[in-house]
Amino acid sequence: MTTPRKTKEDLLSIWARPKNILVAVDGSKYGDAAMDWAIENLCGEADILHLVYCYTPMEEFVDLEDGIVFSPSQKDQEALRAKAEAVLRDAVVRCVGEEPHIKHEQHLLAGDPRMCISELADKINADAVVVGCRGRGAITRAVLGSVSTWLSHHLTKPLVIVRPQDEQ
Amino acid sequence: MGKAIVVGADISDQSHEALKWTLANMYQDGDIIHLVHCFRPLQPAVGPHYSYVPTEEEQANWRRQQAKVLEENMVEAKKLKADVHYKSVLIAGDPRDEIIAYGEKEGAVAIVVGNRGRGALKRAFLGSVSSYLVHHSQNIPVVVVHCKHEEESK
Repeated sequence: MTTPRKTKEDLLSIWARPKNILVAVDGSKYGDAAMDWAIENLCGEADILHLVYCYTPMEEFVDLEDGIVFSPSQKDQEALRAKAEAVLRDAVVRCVGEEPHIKHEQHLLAGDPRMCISELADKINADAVVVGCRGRGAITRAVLGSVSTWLSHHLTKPLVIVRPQDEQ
Repeated sequence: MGKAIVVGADISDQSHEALKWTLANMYQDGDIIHLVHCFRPLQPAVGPHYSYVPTEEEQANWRRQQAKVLEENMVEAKKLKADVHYKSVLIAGDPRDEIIAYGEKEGAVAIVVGNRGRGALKRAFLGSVSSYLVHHSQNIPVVVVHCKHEEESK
């Protein structure tokens, strides 16, 4: 074995400090299953549960027939953001309903979930990143969703991939 | 009632890291940690000028070596945290299927593995067994843990 093994004192102090647990939600049962598992198996009294929802902001699109570019208005973007805030709020309600005393933080991000989740994991120095096996736009016959697959190939933080109970 | 947690144990740095993570984040008093080492039995080989069939004795020796790997894991595990109920499990077969089957049999709440094992290329981000478990474990969540010192160099 090549790594220098830590001493007992180092380990005990590492194990005692509060953990940052990052859970990705998106309103689907997959994100809910991830959150349920994290709450049941990972979250201790002092730990902090970080709930992140990364939504895709509206993008410009081009009508190929006449080359007109449709650009979303401020109002469209704000409406989308309000919907995303509602999804995250529902997740928090569900979380607090399961475990009222849990310390939690919310993160609403717009962009590519793969990048957003891995950057946030680095930023908060996550002890665990918990994701569902698929997301909202899921193709059920896919073995593993695109975000979970990407994370398993790029995330260096400990990654937990959870499947929902009813699909077992 | 304590939970069963399956931890892949192959004496690699990564599997040691997986056990440390389990003890630091998941383990609660009363849980049972199953240190699982699954090895492939010696395979017959055929070449242009030879054929090789492993004898009973060779298989037995190979199995003894693998049992030693598990013993070393147990020693390291006890050094990390001694007052844990550890169970050493040696399985002969394809690690990809056997680890999942064992986890399901025991009703494990998680399967925790390193991102790669001893046999994997150093530059592989996700070894073949870990990758298989992540994609094919239907009922049990899989946790993939990386080695800290390698993370920093990335």
